[in-house]
Amino acid sequence: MRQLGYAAMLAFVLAGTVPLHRVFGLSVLRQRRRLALAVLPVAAVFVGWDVLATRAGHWAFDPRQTLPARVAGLPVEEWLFFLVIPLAGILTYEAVRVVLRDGLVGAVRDAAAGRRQRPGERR
Amino acid sequence: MSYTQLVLLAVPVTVLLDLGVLRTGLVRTRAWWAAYGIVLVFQLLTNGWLTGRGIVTYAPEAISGLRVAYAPVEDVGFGFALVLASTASWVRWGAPSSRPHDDGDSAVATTSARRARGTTTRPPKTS
Repeated sequence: MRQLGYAAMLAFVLAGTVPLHRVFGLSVLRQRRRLALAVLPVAAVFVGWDVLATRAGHWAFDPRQTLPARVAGLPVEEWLFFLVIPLAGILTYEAVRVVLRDGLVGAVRDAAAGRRQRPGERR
Repeated sequence: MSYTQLVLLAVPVTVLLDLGVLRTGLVRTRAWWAAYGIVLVFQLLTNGWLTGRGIVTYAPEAISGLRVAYAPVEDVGFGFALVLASTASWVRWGAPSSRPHDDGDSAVATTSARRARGTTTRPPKTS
């Protein structure tokens, strides 16, 4: 269980942000090409920073609290971090835009109405 | 370069990316700052978990020593740069209508409207 310390944090972030998609009727996860174009180049730069900083000894990861798999010296969780956090940021930003436009109650109600109109559609 | 110096470089670079390179202007919109505020609260919480439990540890010589919720203050800049770069490129690759112009932000509305009329050198993107 202790090895899941880092993974638990990523799961917590996803649990807190992926439901925004349904609650506010977002379309972020359906726009896969756009999402890849937005996240991957930025992730590449930050992973590069991370790999070099880890090598330089700026920071280190506790092997007892991370999964054993390492890629370029980083735990797999650290790689996933650069996908999960940008996704969480984008979902939060899009949810905030909807709320500022329609109000909190309006946004939630519209999303629910949208789901009723398209019951077969997965969100 | 220390972590402190790299963060002091990364923050202005990403702001420049948003304003000058991608020309998304998110730092001029209240929608982005509201979202960032929410992200920051959760960053302090989750990053506090990683650093408070010692899942990630830092070399004292690489950081300034100032800490927020267990984590080096530099992590706040790192998170800011990561989230701004990601959201700005997300907006950049969206349809022109998805750009921030409906938030009552005139500075961005001008850029958006100019793009919509096709007077920019870059063709409008559709995804």
